[in-house]
Order: sequence, then C-alpha cells, then structure tokens
Amino acid sequence: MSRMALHAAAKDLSRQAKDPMALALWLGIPILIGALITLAFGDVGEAPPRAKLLVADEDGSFLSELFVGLLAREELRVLDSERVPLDEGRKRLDEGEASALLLIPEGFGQAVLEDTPSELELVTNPAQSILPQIAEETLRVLVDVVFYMQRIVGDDIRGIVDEMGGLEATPSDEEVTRISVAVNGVFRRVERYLLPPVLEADTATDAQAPSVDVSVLFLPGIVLMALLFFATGLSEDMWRERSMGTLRRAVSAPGGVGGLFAGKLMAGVVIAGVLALVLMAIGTFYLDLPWRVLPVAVVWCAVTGGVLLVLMCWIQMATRTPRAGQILTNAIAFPLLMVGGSFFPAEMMPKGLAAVGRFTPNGWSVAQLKDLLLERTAPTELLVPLLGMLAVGLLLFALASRTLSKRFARAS
Amino acid sequence: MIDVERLEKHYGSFVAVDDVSFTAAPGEIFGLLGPNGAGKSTTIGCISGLLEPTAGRVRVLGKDVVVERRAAREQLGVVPQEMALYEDLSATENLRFWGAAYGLRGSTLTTRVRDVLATTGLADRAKEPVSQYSGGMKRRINFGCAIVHRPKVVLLDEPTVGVDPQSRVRLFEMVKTLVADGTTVLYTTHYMEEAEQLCDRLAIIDRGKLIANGTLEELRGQVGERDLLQLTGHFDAAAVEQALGAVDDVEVVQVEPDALRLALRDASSRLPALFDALTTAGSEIRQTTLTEPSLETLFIKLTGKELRE
Repeated sequence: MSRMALHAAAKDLSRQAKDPMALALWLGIPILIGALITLAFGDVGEAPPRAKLLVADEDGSFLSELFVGLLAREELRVLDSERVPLDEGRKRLDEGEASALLLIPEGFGQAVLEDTPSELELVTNPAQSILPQIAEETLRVLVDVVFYMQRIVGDDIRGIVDEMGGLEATPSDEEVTRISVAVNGVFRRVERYLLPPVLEADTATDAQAPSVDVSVLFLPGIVLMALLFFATGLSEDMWRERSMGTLRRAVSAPGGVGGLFAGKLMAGVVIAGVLALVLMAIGTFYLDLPWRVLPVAVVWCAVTGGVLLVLMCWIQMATRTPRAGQILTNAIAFPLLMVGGSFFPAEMMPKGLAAVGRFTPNGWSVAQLKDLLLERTAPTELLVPLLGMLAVGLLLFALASRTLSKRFARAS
Repeated sequence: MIDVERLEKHYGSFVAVDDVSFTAAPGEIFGLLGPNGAGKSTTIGCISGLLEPTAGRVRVLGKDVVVERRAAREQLGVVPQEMALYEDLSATENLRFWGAAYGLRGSTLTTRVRDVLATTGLADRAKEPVSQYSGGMKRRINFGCAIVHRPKVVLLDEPTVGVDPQSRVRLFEMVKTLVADGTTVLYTTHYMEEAEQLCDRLAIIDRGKLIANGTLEELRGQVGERDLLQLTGHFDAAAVEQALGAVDDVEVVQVEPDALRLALRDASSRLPALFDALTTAGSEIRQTTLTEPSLETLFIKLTGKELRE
C-alpha cells in the first residue's frame, strides 16, 4: 500500500499541476477576501475620527479666548478645534475641510459677564453626518459649563475684570493665572457631571505584549480559508475518480483503493504545504513577522490541510451524488470559516462565538498558528498539538478508507 | 488459470450469480456468453475482487481471491466494461501509474509502457491527454492499462462495446497475442460472433445460472444438426403440438400466441409441409426466419429467447 500511495501521490500532483487555475483560485480568493476585510476594518490602532471645528472669534475678549481654550482641552479629544477668521472659516467649511464652524459673536464676553443672553452660531457641514453632531453636542455641554461657571465664579471674574479696566484690556500674567485657576477649578468640579463618559472602557494593557497589527490577526484565518477551499475543492476528486472508473480499477490492484486514497491525501498535504508557504511567506514579508517560525507554521498548515481534506473526502463519500457532496461540504465549510476566525479574527468576535470557534478544527488550528506567529508559543510547544492533529487525521483516514473500500469505490 | 467453484452472489433476495462453476486454462480464451444482466459482470467482479462472493470459491493461479487477495490480484489484469482512465493524464502517464500500481519499477516499467504503446498503436499520441482520444483509442489504452504489468490472467468485460471496427480488430489481435504468450483470458460478451471467432471454450450464462459449458464444437453438438425455424403470427399451442406431432423429427422449442420456434433437420426443403400442417391447425403465419445451427440457436434452444432480448 505504501508504494501504491507514493505513486498515487505523484499521479495526483501531476494531475493538479495540469490544473493551475484551481491552485490560483485556492490562493487568490482568500487573499482577495482578506485584503477586502482588512481594508474594511482598517488598523485597530488607528486614532478614532475627530470632528474638525473651526472657531471664528468675533468678540476677541479674554472670556471668549477662555471659551476657545476650553474647546482645545484634552478632555474634549473628539474635537480638533482651529481658530480662523470668519471668512476663511466659511470658505473652508464650504470646501468640506471641516465638520462645523463656530461663530463667537461680538459682545459674547460682556454678555457672560453680565449674565445676559448671547447667541453662539454653529454652522455644520451637511456632507458629514456624525462628526458635526459630535461638535454640536460638545458645544452644548460647553455652553452649560459657561453657564455654571458664571453662577459659581461670576463675581470673582467680574472683580478681576474691573481691576483690569474692562474686558478689552489685556490682562497681566498674574490675572490670567488667577482666572485660569478659578476656571480650571470649576471645570474640574463639574466635568464629571457635564462630561460623563458615554462608554465606560476599562483598558488593561499587558506591558509584555507587543502591539499587534490587525493584519497579523487576519493572516492565520486567511491561510486556513485557503486550506478549507483547497480541501473542499480537492475532495470533489473522489467523485471524479469514481466517474472515471479508476476507483474500481484500483480495487483490483494489489495496493488496493486504500493506497490510492492514501496517495491522494499525501498529495493533498504537499499542496496544502505549498499554499501555506506562499501565503505565509507573503504575510511574513509584508507584516514583518519572524521568518524563523515559518517552517513550523508551514508544517502545521500542511498537516491541518491534510486533516481537513480527509474530513471533506469522507463527507463527499457519505453523500449519494456529486451535487449533494458539493453542497454539503460547502455548507460545512462556510460556517466553519465564519466561526473559525477566517472572516473575522476571534479578537473581533463576540466572546461566546469566539469560544465556540476555538472548538472547530480550523478555529483551533488558527489559534495555534496565531500563537506561533506572534511568538506566544515556542515552535517546540506545537509538537503536542501536532501529534493530536495527526491522531485525528489518522482516525478520520481509517473511517474514510472504510467507507471508500466497502461502499464508495465499489458502486458504479 | 481461473478456477470458479460453485460461485454465488446475492443482493438481498436477488440472486445475481447462482452456483456457477467453470475453469479457464492457461493459454486459453474462455468466453462467458450471455445477454445483458445475465450475471457476466458480477462473475468478473467476484474474480477481480471488486465484489465479495456470497458463497463459493474463486482461485486465480491457485490463489484464493478472498483469502490470498494480494497474491491473486498481482496476477490479474482487469479490463472493465466502462473506461477506467485518468482523462487529464496522457496515455504514457496512465500506463506508468497503473504499471507502478502493479509493482513495475524503473527500466522495466519504461520498457513495458513503450511496448504497450506500440501494441495498442498509440505511440505517436502517447503524450496527449486521454480526453482528446477517440472512443476506440480510449478502449485500446483501457486495455493497455490492464496488461502493462504482464498479468498471467486477464479479465475482459465486454471490451468491444461501442468500439469501431478498426479498434475491434486491433483488440482481437492483442488478445490473441496475450494468449499466444500463455495468458489465460476470460472474455465476456453478448456478441455471438465474437465468442465464436475468439473463444476456445465457452460458458453460456443466463439469469445468473450457467446453462452450457464446453468447446465451440461441443456446444454446437448440443444443438445437433438441426436448423432453427422461427415463425411469427398467431398460434394455438395445443393445436400446434397436435399438428406437428404427426410430422417426423420436429421439436417444438417454444410456442407462444404470437411466436413459434421449431428445431428440425433440413428445414428449407420441408417448409411447404410444415406450413400446410400449421395452416390446417388454424395457425396464421406472417414471418419466417431460418437459422442454421449456431450458438445463437443453442442459446434460444436452452433459454427460449434470443441472446439480445
């Protein structure tokens, strides 16, 4: 059987070499899907979008300056404010360069000081949807801050302004410091009420862990996607062999049909290794991953590919028609891809789904491969999982061989 | 040598092969003749190991095909009824794979592949994918894959179905060459002429049972010197039996309301007397077919039906 297997493997590799399109598709589709998904999700470490707010201060008083300063505070990280003359602000808003333009009218400082109404004008960019709303909401909060500030430290500010000789006077450094301390104190006291966090995020950072590029998270899933496509596609060859009559001829050969099947799986392991090598090499090059783990990663993928192939072959042989086999293997492959982390890495999935995914054959393989690529595990630590994978493969091979020799190969 | 002893193959309650026994000797073409569905392919399947016999024993060169499976298979070459080729591979690649599957290596394999390509007349198109071959060429390479390892026993299951005359002649030549080298050939067919032309010995099989077995002469002897007269029209069985009872040396093989089959000597000169007797018995004759003694007449005599029915 072993010699028969070797010859059958050579024969299947030769047949596969005559069909380069299949190989190209098994490689190309996962690369394309991976590229699209990565583009769609962008980089996980990228800063969130900020609303660009142009501020035209027509008042020019130190209170309006103070208000503009509030807009630039670190706590308001969703806003990127820039002070501009009114004409330039309108022009740039028209050109779509900003999310909104805030106009502080002349007399704003006096109105605050005297606790009389004043109107701030916010012109938003209709071409944007979310960012102008962020600017609007933030401004609403700041107006409240000013209102409370006036109530709490209004007298102090009025005293300082009187000492300065009016709002138009240029305050000394000492006066600026006094006002700033007063305002800052008020802001600190009210910010927890006025700027409550919409989402409470508890971020724990592992100082040992390096920052991870999102593409690295996708790479193992994409490799497994290629392997599942390959396993699903090549498993259909069982039906082709049957329709060509070669399975029946092999039954009468000394090596038997088991040798032919073993050869097909050996060829499959080689093809899976080649697919993995190409994808992993591209990934390692572009993502600057360690080259030293590449050989072990390829061996892991080759064995995984072989196990997936024998599983899919068994499913094909359990069905009654080629069409049923094709539908069933695809019906199994696509949920496996989804749950197993090929379309979305486990890190981006809901916890429950990610936990389920780790129990799928491809999901488990993806997790091991990811740990290897990110050097969370040493290559030698993969030996036990590799032996486990081989054991599963041998069990599946025994079951599939039985189905093949007892039923599938003998049917006409 | 093939030794089939009381072979049976059941599929549930259906008996595909029922107590079949025969022996095919080295250097002999043994024909298994019968209509479609008679059990020929099932018998071949049991010998080749494709099917497990329900009962009985099959030995190839003394090796039991069930107990000593591998040893028996090494001596066998099987030409299945349907094609069994990798159509995406070339003739050379097919021959090399099947040769290697039967244990050929290195220069022996290369030499044998070259020889078979020459024998099958495909040497000039050896590198082309089989998918580009004509039906006859595929048949020839299908045959070549079974003999590339020089088996001592070759099983041919209706190898000429759908084959053009030129390829058929070449196949016959290849079979005769094999036999000249001492190979045992088991040849199944439902073509009477092929069996008569090729086979040294024959077994006739119908509905899973072996109904005759022997050399061509022995089988013809079972028919005797009698011609077979087949009549169609309208016949009353009792009246026909009574009318022909009075006519010397006429055997009623089969009588049905619309068909009558008679075996008799020198039929052509006795037709007027027979027609008179049948007409007197109320029969209506529309068509008459006279067949000289042959396997066909033997088959009809044994089964009451034509081989191609």
